[in-house]
Amino acid sequence: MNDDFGTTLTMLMDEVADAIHPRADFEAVRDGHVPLAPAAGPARFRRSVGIAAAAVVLAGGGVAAYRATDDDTGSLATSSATAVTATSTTIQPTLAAPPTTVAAAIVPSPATEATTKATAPVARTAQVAGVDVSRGAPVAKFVGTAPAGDIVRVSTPFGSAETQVATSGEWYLFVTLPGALAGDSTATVTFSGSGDSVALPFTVPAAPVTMPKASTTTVAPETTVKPVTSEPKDAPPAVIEFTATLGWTEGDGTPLENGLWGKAAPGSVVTAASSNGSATATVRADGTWEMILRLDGVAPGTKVGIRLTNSASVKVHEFTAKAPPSEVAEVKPFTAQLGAADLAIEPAKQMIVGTGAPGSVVRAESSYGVAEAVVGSTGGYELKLKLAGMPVGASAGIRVTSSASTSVFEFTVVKQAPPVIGFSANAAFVECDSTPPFNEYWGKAAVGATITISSPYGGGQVTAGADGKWAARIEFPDAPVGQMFDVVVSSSQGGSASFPFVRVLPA
Amino acid sequence: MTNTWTPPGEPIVRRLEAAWTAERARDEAVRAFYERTHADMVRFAAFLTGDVHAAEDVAHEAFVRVFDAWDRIDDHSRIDAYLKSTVVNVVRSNHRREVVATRRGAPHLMLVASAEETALGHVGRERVLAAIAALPLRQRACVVMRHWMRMTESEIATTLDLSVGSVRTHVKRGTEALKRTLGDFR
Repeated sequence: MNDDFGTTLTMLMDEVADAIHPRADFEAVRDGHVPLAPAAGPARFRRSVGIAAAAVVLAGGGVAAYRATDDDTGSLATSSATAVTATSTTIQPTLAAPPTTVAAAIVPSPATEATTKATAPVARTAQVAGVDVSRGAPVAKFVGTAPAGDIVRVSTPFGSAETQVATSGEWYLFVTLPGALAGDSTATVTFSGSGDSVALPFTVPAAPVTMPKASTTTVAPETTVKPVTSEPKDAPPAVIEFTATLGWTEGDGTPLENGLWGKAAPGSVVTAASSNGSATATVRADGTWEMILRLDGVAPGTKVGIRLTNSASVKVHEFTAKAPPSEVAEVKPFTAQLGAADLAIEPAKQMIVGTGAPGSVVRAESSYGVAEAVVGSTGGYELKLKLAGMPVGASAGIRVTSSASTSVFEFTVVKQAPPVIGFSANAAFVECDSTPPFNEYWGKAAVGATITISSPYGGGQVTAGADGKWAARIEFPDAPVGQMFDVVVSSSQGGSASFPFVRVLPA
Repeated sequence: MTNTWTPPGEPIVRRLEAAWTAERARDEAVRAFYERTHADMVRFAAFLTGDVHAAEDVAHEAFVRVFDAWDRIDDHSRIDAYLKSTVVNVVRSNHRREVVATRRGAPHLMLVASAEETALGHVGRERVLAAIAALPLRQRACVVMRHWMRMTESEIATTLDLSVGSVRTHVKRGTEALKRTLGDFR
């Protein structure tokens, strides 16, 4: 009944979803801005994810160091900051190349070197390791040393960050610089241990020009590559929804091949999977894709489910394709065999499956029940024989005959003792906004056990059935809004469970 | 008093650079994951909250929670399911906050059309959102995952940590309720 409406519902929801165009803001998430739960602010994420950056263009790396007192607690005695020009230190990294050029720019005085050898405490140092402008807002990297536990804070006109120095005595920070333009700027590094601060000049290089992807490795020397201007920063990225269309729903050829096509994010992979074959396609640069899915071994007249997924979307498309019916129905001999059975319940159930002439009637008889089935167009049948009133341990003969055959198949089955059913209970909801509020409980218990459901605001009793199953719908008309209480479910044969429940106002 | 002078040494930078390389790969994975799933998670949250504006906040918080736990997640092949369940959890927590606010006498946060919704100007869409938002949360999540995300019952069960039978029940009841509300829609 709901299948038809389910399709309508899917279409409605697709339409609603297609009308929603959210604004992506990865930087805001990366920086850990949490609009709804400030009390649970993810400080760790703010620190750990926020430090990552892409290929670094080290340009104009300012470097500075200053002297600290020998006990790491006194005030700053002297300080020094050295700006390194961009032209001499630009490195096209490959992050494998450390910014050693920057560090080498510091030339301590002989007197200072001598002092360094004489004393061991970790000095408070800071330097700009580079500014990454390869994507979005520039990100400046700062590194240095300080006594473990020190809080180092780096402030710039465009953003700030802080970290606690690790036991190794090393620290590093990435500071996102939203709105920073190419040019010189200054950062202030503050150490909590001494309360001192030092100014670090640094340079934000111009954003790199985006080159065509294919030309980065195969450009011939004489080839002139026209740089492609980057997209305006505030232009929303073009998002292509993952769509899919099925070529046919009922095939007519051999081998069965079905065409599928649609749209998705360029470069992503679309995968079609079914029990009878699979195929993949890479989405073209214009966002379109197509593929041919070959379905092998599909029985004539049967349906095949096809499931389509896209590596760039969480959306999944499902289709059903039906193989054509066979031209001439194959006449199969009459056979019968025992299938799945549940002989421990009342009534006991025994499946019988086999083949026969299409349209013929197969009948199974026993002392405890009779069942019939018509053989389908594919020549197969299955019937469910219910054996009512069969005592535990008793055996029953089953005789299977066909209207189109003189063959007779006979089987014997034995009624089994019912298993010991452990108590279990489930609750449908934790909250309810209906009037009166209610909840549904169900589970299993020993056959005939009395299940008692109780709470301060309502309850009831129910008896477990012959299969051990029980279910109850309990209303709590006097339950106050917003006050959570426990509903206890217990069995007369032992076992109990407790479920919280709260009445809420209707949305 | 003796002053010390220790410039940043090359070994420090080299060690840090190795750490950056690893974190760069991690950051790119995080960014790619965000860009791939953000739009659909906002839409998912919109179905759960009935409010596009609130949905953006919910998705935002869910992403922050997932990224915060990124290094603690053992199996990143299940990160999509983890994110979806986080969205449901955020919606649930927000609802609990609303319940508490109601008890304290603060105005209840009813479904209010955001500016963006109003701009859509489509009464039908708002009606669909409102009808789904009226379902109990677990039914809401199951119905949206089944009918909009086209997830199988077992996938939903795994994502929401429910039994397949429970999922089937929630989907059936939710769909029936929506049929009563929206059955005359088309």
